Amino acid sequence: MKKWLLRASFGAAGVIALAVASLTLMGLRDTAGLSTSSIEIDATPETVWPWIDQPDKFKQWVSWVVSVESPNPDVKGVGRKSIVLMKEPSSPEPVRIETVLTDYAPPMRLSADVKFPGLFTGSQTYQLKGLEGGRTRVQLDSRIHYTTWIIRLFEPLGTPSATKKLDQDFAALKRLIEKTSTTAAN
Amino acid sequence: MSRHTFSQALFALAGLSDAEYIAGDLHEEFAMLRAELGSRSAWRWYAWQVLRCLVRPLALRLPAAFLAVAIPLALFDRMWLFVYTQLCAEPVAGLGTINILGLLAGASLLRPGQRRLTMGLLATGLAAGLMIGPAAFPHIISILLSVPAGAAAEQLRKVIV
Repeated sequence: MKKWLLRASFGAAGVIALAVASLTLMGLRDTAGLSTSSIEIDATPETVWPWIDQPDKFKQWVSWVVSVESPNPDVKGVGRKSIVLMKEPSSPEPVRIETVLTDYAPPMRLSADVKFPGLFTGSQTYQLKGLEGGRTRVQLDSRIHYTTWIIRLFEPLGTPSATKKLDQDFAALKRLIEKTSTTAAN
Repeated sequence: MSRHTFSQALFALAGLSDAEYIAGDLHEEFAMLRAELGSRSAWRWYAWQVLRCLVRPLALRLPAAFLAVAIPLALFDRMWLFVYTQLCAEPVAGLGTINILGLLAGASLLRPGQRRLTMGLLATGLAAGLMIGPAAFPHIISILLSVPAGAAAEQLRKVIV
Protein backbone atom coordinates (compact mmCIF):
# COMPACT_ATOMS: atom_id res chain seq x y z
CA MET A 1 0.00 0.00 0.00
CA LYS A 2 2.84 2.30 0.99
CA LYS A 3 4.59 1.52 -2.31
CA TRP A 4 1.44 2.45 -4.24
CA LEU A 5 1.05 5.71 -2.36
CA LEU A 6 4.67 6.60 -3.09
CA ARG A 7 4.25 5.77 -6.78
CA ALA A 8 1.04 7.80 -7.02
CA SER A 9 2.66 10.76 -5.26
CA PHE A 10 5.73 10.70 -7.51
CA GLY A 11 3.52 10.28 -10.56
CA ALA A 12 1.31 13.24 -9.63
CA ALA A 13 4.36 15.38 -8.82
CA GLY A 14 5.93 14.42 -12.16
CA VAL A 15 2.81 15.32 -14.11
CA ILE A 16 2.51 18.68 -12.35
CA ALA A 17 6.23 19.39 -12.91
CA LEU A 18 5.86 18.53 -16.61
CA ALA A 19 2.83 20.82 -16.96
CA VAL A 20 4.58 23.67 -15.13
CA ALA A 21 7.72 23.24 -17.27
CA SER A 22 5.62 23.24 -20.46
CA LEU A 23 3.67 26.32 -19.40
CA THR A 24 6.92 28.10 -18.49
CA LEU A 25 8.48 27.27 -21.87
CA MET A 26 5.34 28.36 -23.72
CA GLY A 27 5.31 31.60 -21.73
CA LEU A 28 8.86 32.46 -22.85
CA ARG A 29 7.85 33.06 -26.48
CA ASP A 30 8.14 36.60 -27.92
CA THR A 31 4.41 36.83 -28.49
CA ALA A 32 3.45 35.90 -24.92
CA GLY A 33 0.42 37.95 -23.89
CA LEU A 34 -0.05 39.37 -27.40
CA SER A 35 -3.49 39.08 -28.96
CA THR A 36 -4.05 40.47 -32.42
CA SER A 37 -7.22 40.68 -34.42
CA SER A 38 -8.28 42.52 -37.54
CA ILE A 39 -11.36 42.86 -39.68
CA GLU A 40 -12.53 44.63 -42.80
CA ILE A 41 -15.65 46.74 -42.46
CA ASP A 42 -17.76 48.14 -45.26
CA ALA A 43 -17.60 51.73 -44.00
CA THR A 44 -15.10 54.62 -44.06
CA PRO A 45 -12.59 55.18 -41.22
CA GLU A 46 -14.58 58.31 -40.22
CA THR A 47 -17.68 56.14 -39.75
CA VAL A 48 -15.82 53.44 -37.81
CA TRP A 49 -13.85 55.77 -35.53
CA PRO A 50 -16.70 56.85 -33.15
CA TRP A 51 -17.44 53.17 -32.42
CA ILE A 52 -13.95 52.87 -30.95
CA ASP A 53 -13.63 56.33 -29.43
CA GLN A 54 -17.04 57.02 -27.91
CA PRO A 55 -17.95 55.11 -24.71
CA ASP A 56 -21.67 54.74 -25.51
CA LYS A 57 -20.86 53.14 -28.89
CA PHE A 58 -17.85 51.18 -27.57
CA LYS A 59 -19.90 49.26 -25.01
CA GLN A 60 -22.35 48.13 -27.70
CA TRP A 61 -19.85 45.83 -29.41
CA VAL A 62 -17.28 44.86 -26.78
CA SER A 63 -18.70 41.86 -24.95
CA TRP A 64 -19.04 41.86 -21.15
CA VAL A 65 -18.77 45.68 -20.90
CA VAL A 66 -21.29 47.03 -18.41
CA SER A 67 -20.24 50.67 -18.30
CA VAL A 68 -17.49 53.05 -19.42
CA GLU A 69 -16.92 56.14 -17.32
CA SER A 70 -14.31 58.85 -17.60
CA PRO A 71 -12.89 60.45 -14.43
CA ASN A 72 -11.53 63.35 -16.52
CA PRO A 73 -14.10 63.92 -19.31
CA ASP A 74 -12.75 67.42 -20.00
CA VAL A 75 -9.53 65.88 -21.37
CA LYS A 76 -9.78 65.11 -25.09
CA GLY A 77 -7.17 62.77 -26.55
CA VAL A 78 -3.93 61.74 -24.82
CA GLY A 79 -4.31 61.53 -21.06
CA ARG A 80 -8.05 60.79 -21.05
CA LYS A 81 -8.82 58.14 -18.47
CA SER A 82 -11.61 55.60 -18.53
CA ILE A 83 -12.93 53.08 -16.04
CA VAL A 84 -14.38 50.08 -17.86
CA LEU A 85 -16.58 47.76 -15.82
CA MET A 86 -16.79 44.29 -17.33
CA LYS A 87 -18.96 41.37 -16.24
CA GLU A 88 -17.12 38.22 -17.23
CA PRO A 89 -19.71 35.37 -17.32
CA SER A 90 -17.96 32.96 -14.93
CA SER A 91 -17.02 35.65 -12.42
CA PRO A 92 -19.56 36.73 -9.78
CA GLU A 93 -18.22 40.27 -9.49
CA PRO A 94 -17.68 42.78 -12.33
CA VAL A 95 -14.02 43.51 -13.05
CA ARG A 96 -12.73 47.07 -13.18
CA ILE A 97 -10.22 47.98 -15.89
CA GLU A 98 -8.49 51.35 -15.94
CA THR A 99 -7.31 52.83 -19.22
CA VAL A 100 -5.31 55.94 -20.12
CA LEU A 101 -4.98 57.14 -23.73
CA THR A 102 -1.35 57.34 -24.81
CA ASP A 103 -1.79 58.04 -28.53
CA TYR A 104 -4.76 59.67 -30.20
CA ALA A 105 -4.81 60.33 -33.95
CA PRO A 106 -8.41 60.29 -35.22
CA PRO A 107 -9.56 58.57 -37.35
CA MET A 108 -6.48 56.38 -37.76
CA ARG A 109 -4.91 55.34 -34.45
CA LEU A 110 -5.73 55.09 -30.78
CA SER A 111 -3.50 53.58 -28.10
CA ALA A 112 -4.16 53.13 -24.42
CA ASP A 113 -2.43 51.71 -21.39
CA VAL A 114 -4.71 49.26 -19.61
CA LYS A 115 -4.55 48.10 -16.04
CA PHE A 116 -6.50 45.57 -14.02
CA PRO A 117 -5.12 46.06 -10.50
CA GLY A 118 -3.83 42.79 -9.09
CA LEU A 119 -4.14 40.88 -12.37
CA PHE A 120 -2.51 42.56 -15.37
CA THR A 121 -1.12 45.67 -17.01
CA GLY A 122 -0.80 46.15 -20.75
CA SER A 123 -1.46 48.26 -23.79
CA GLN A 124 -3.91 48.25 -26.67
CA THR A 125 -3.58 49.89 -30.07
CA TYR A 126 -6.38 50.29 -32.60
CA GLN A 127 -5.28 51.07 -36.14
CA LEU A 128 -7.70 51.98 -38.91
CA LYS A 129 -6.67 51.87 -42.54
CA GLY A 130 -8.84 53.18 -45.35
CA LEU A 131 -9.22 50.73 -48.23
CA GLU A 132 -10.60 51.01 -51.74
CA GLY A 133 -14.36 51.26 -52.10
CA GLY A 134 -14.87 53.11 -48.81
CA ARG A 135 -13.89 50.12 -46.71
CA THR A 136 -11.75 50.10 -43.55
CA ARG A 137 -9.38 47.58 -42.05
CA VAL A 138 -9.45 47.74 -38.26
CA GLN A 139 -6.63 46.09 -36.34
CA LEU A 140 -6.21 45.72 -32.62
CA ASP A 141 -2.94 44.71 -30.98
CA SER A 142 -3.37 43.96 -27.32
CA ARG A 143 -0.44 43.03 -25.09
CA ILE A 144 -1.11 41.88 -21.56
CA HIS A 145 1.42 41.29 -18.82
CA TYR A 146 0.10 39.38 -15.84
CA THR A 147 1.47 40.86 -12.65
CA THR A 148 1.51 37.82 -10.35
CA TRP A 149 3.74 34.87 -11.18
CA ILE A 150 1.12 32.17 -10.69
CA ILE A 151 -1.29 33.86 -13.11
CA ARG A 152 1.64 34.62 -15.47
CA LEU A 153 2.33 30.90 -15.54
CA PHE A 154 -1.10 30.35 -17.06
CA GLU A 155 -0.63 33.00 -19.77
CA PRO A 156 -0.46 30.37 -22.58
CA LEU A 157 -4.00 29.35 -21.59
CA GLY A 158 -5.39 32.87 -21.32
CA THR A 159 -4.03 34.46 -24.51
CA PRO A 160 -5.90 32.18 -26.97
CA SER A 161 -9.15 32.98 -25.12
CA ALA A 162 -8.38 36.70 -25.29
CA THR A 163 -7.69 36.45 -29.04
CA LYS A 164 -10.94 34.60 -29.59
CA LYS A 165 -12.82 37.29 -27.66
CA LEU A 166 -11.24 40.02 -29.83
CA ASP A 167 -12.33 38.16 -32.97
CA GLN A 168 -15.89 37.84 -31.66
CA ASP A 169 -16.01 41.50 -30.65
CA PHE A 170 -14.75 42.61 -34.06
CA ALA A 171 -17.39 40.46 -35.75
CA ALA A 172 -20.00 42.23 -33.61
CA LEU A 173 -18.51 45.63 -34.54
CA LYS A 174 -18.71 44.79 -38.24
CA ARG A 175 -22.33 43.66 -37.92
CA LEU A 176 -23.33 46.78 -36.00
CA ILE A 177 -21.63 49.28 -38.31
CA GLU A 178 -22.76 47.65 -41.54
CA LYS A 179 -26.30 47.28 -40.21
CA THR A 180 -26.34 50.94 -39.14
CA SER A 181 -24.95 52.04 -42.52
CA THR A 182 -27.59 50.02 -44.39
CA THR A 183 -30.40 51.42 -42.22
CA ALA A 184 -29.10 54.98 -42.75
CA ALA A 185 -28.87 54.43 -46.52
CA ASN A 186 -32.48 53.21 -46.65
CA MET B 1 -19.87 -5.27 -43.79
CA SER B 2 -21.76 -8.55 -43.29
CA ARG B 3 -24.18 -9.17 -40.43
CA HIS B 4 -21.78 -11.66 -38.92
CA THR B 5 -18.75 -9.32 -39.00
CA PHE B 6 -20.80 -6.41 -37.68
CA SER B 7 -22.15 -8.28 -34.67
CA GLN B 8 -18.71 -9.74 -34.00
CA ALA B 9 -17.25 -6.22 -33.97
CA LEU B 10 -20.03 -5.04 -31.61
CA PHE B 11 -19.33 -7.92 -29.22
CA ALA B 12 -15.60 -7.24 -29.31
CA LEU B 13 -16.22 -3.55 -28.56
CA ALA B 14 -18.42 -4.53 -25.63
CA GLY B 15 -15.49 -6.53 -24.28
CA LEU B 16 -16.80 -10.08 -24.89
CA SER B 17 -13.75 -12.32 -25.00
CA ASP B 18 -15.47 -14.99 -27.15
CA ALA B 19 -17.04 -12.51 -29.59
CA GLU B 20 -16.11 -14.59 -32.65
CA TYR B 21 -17.77 -17.78 -31.35
CA ILE B 22 -20.94 -16.05 -30.16
CA ALA B 23 -21.31 -14.25 -33.49
CA GLY B 24 -20.69 -17.56 -35.31
CA ASP B 25 -23.36 -19.42 -33.29
CA LEU B 26 -25.89 -16.64 -33.84
CA HIS B 27 -25.12 -16.67 -37.55
CA GLU B 28 -25.74 -20.42 -37.81
CA GLU B 29 -28.97 -20.29 -35.82
CA PHE B 30 -30.13 -17.32 -37.88
CA ALA B 31 -29.67 -19.34 -41.08
CA MET B 32 -31.70 -22.24 -39.64
CA LEU B 33 -34.50 -19.98 -38.36
CA ARG B 34 -34.73 -18.16 -41.66
CA ALA B 35 -35.26 -21.46 -43.46
CA GLU B 36 -37.94 -22.50 -40.92
CA LEU B 37 -39.76 -19.26 -40.01
CA GLY B 38 -38.89 -16.80 -42.72
CA SER B 39 -36.63 -13.80 -42.97
CA ARG B 40 -38.60 -11.32 -40.83
CA SER B 41 -38.88 -13.60 -37.77
CA ALA B 42 -35.26 -14.66 -38.09
CA TRP B 43 -34.11 -11.01 -38.17
CA ARG B 44 -36.25 -10.17 -35.12
CA TRP B 45 -34.78 -13.08 -33.22
CA TYR B 46 -31.24 -12.15 -34.31
CA ALA B 47 -31.55 -8.50 -33.26
CA TRP B 48 -32.95 -9.55 -29.88
CA GLN B 49 -30.10 -12.00 -29.28
CA VAL B 50 -27.48 -9.40 -30.19
CA LEU B 51 -29.06 -6.92 -27.76
CA ARG B 52 -29.17 -9.53 -25.00
CA CYS B 53 -25.51 -10.33 -25.51
CA LEU B 54 -24.56 -6.66 -25.35
CA VAL B 55 -26.58 -5.58 -22.31
CA ARG B 56 -24.73 -7.57 -19.67
CA PRO B 57 -21.12 -6.62 -20.57
CA LEU B 58 -22.11 -2.99 -21.11
CA ALA B 59 -23.88 -2.88 -17.75
CA LEU B 60 -20.76 -4.36 -16.14
CA ARG B 61 -18.57 -1.78 -17.83
CA LEU B 62 -20.62 1.25 -16.84
CA PRO B 63 -19.22 1.57 -13.28
CA ALA B 64 -15.73 1.06 -14.68
CA ALA B 65 -16.25 3.76 -17.31
CA PHE B 66 -17.65 6.03 -14.61
CA LEU B 67 -14.56 5.49 -12.48
CA ALA B 68 -12.03 5.79 -15.30
CA VAL B 69 -13.57 8.65 -17.28
CA ALA B 70 -16.49 10.45 -15.64
CA ILE B 71 -14.86 11.26 -12.29
CA PRO B 72 -11.55 12.58 -13.72
CA LEU B 73 -13.51 14.42 -16.41
CA ALA B 74 -15.64 16.20 -13.83
CA LEU B 75 -12.52 17.10 -11.82
CA PHE B 76 -10.78 18.49 -14.93
CA ASP B 77 -13.88 20.45 -15.87
CA ARG B 78 -13.90 22.12 -12.42
CA MET B 79 -10.14 22.73 -12.59
CA TRP B 80 -10.26 24.44 -15.99
CA LEU B 81 -13.23 26.55 -14.97
CA PHE B 82 -11.31 27.67 -11.88
CA VAL B 83 -8.14 28.47 -13.87
CA TYR B 84 -10.03 30.48 -16.50
CA THR B 85 -12.03 32.33 -13.86
CA GLN B 86 -8.72 33.46 -12.34
CA LEU B 87 -7.64 34.67 -15.79
CA CYS B 88 -10.99 36.48 -16.32
CA ALA B 89 -11.42 34.54 -19.54
CA GLU B 90 -13.69 31.90 -20.99
CA PRO B 91 -12.32 28.36 -21.42
CA VAL B 92 -11.23 27.73 -25.01
CA ALA B 93 -13.44 25.52 -27.16
CA GLY B 94 -12.75 21.80 -27.32
CA LEU B 95 -11.15 21.34 -23.89
CA GLY B 96 -13.86 18.87 -22.83
CA THR B 97 -13.32 16.73 -25.92
CA ILE B 98 -9.55 16.85 -25.48
CA ASN B 99 -9.94 15.78 -21.85
CA ILE B 100 -12.07 12.78 -22.85
CA LEU B 101 -9.59 11.77 -25.57
CA GLY B 102 -6.66 12.20 -23.16
CA LEU B 103 -8.32 10.09 -20.48
CA LEU B 104 -9.15 7.33 -22.98
CA ALA B 105 -5.61 7.49 -24.39
CA GLY B 106 -4.17 7.23 -20.88
CA ALA B 107 -6.29 4.15 -20.18
CA SER B 108 -5.26 2.62 -23.54
CA LEU B 109 -1.58 3.04 -22.70
CA LEU B 110 -2.00 0.39 -20.00
CA ARG B 111 -3.25 -2.15 -22.53
CA PRO B 112 -0.25 -3.70 -24.28
CA GLY B 113 -2.14 -4.34 -27.54
CA GLN B 114 -3.15 -0.70 -27.90
CA ARG B 115 -0.02 0.97 -26.55
CA ARG B 116 1.85 1.48 -29.83
CA LEU B 117 -1.16 2.87 -31.70
CA THR B 118 -2.01 5.22 -28.81
CA MET B 119 1.59 6.47 -28.58
CA GLY B 120 1.55 7.13 -32.32
CA LEU B 121 -1.72 9.04 -32.14
CA LEU B 122 -0.52 11.07 -29.15
CA ALA B 123 2.76 11.97 -30.87
CA THR B 124 0.88 13.01 -34.02
CA GLY B 125 -1.58 15.10 -32.00
CA LEU B 126 1.25 16.77 -30.07
CA ALA B 127 3.15 17.59 -33.27
CA ALA B 128 -0.03 19.00 -34.85
CA GLY B 129 -0.66 21.10 -31.72
CA LEU B 130 2.86 22.51 -31.76
CA MET B 131 2.53 23.34 -35.47
CA ILE B 132 -0.74 25.20 -34.85
CA GLY B 133 1.02 27.33 -32.23
CA PRO B 134 -0.29 29.34 -29.25
CA ALA B 135 -3.95 28.75 -30.12
CA ALA B 136 -3.41 25.05 -29.33
CA PHE B 137 -1.37 25.54 -26.13
CA PRO B 138 -4.37 25.01 -23.81
CA HIS B 139 -5.13 21.73 -25.58
CA ILE B 140 -1.50 20.56 -25.28
CA ILE B 141 -1.48 21.28 -21.55
CA SER B 142 -4.83 19.55 -21.22
CA ILE B 143 -3.44 16.43 -22.93
CA LEU B 144 -0.31 16.49 -20.75
CA LEU B 145 -2.54 16.33 -17.67
CA SER B 146 -5.36 14.11 -18.87
CA VAL B 147 -3.27 11.26 -20.33
CA PRO B 148 -1.51 10.43 -17.02
CA ALA B 149 -4.84 10.96 -15.20
CA GLY B 150 -6.45 8.45 -17.55
CA ALA B 151 -3.67 5.95 -16.93
CA ALA B 152 -3.94 6.44 -13.17
CA ALA B 153 -7.73 6.06 -13.24
CA GLU B 154 -7.42 2.89 -15.30
CA GLN B 155 -4.88 1.48 -12.85
CA LEU B 156 -7.21 2.33 -9.96
CA ARG B 157 -10.11 0.74 -11.81
CA LYS B 158 -8.10 -2.48 -12.25
CA VAL B 159 -7.34 -2.57 -8.54
CA ILE B 160 -10.93 -1.87 -7.45
CA VAL B 161 -13.11 -3.65 -10.04
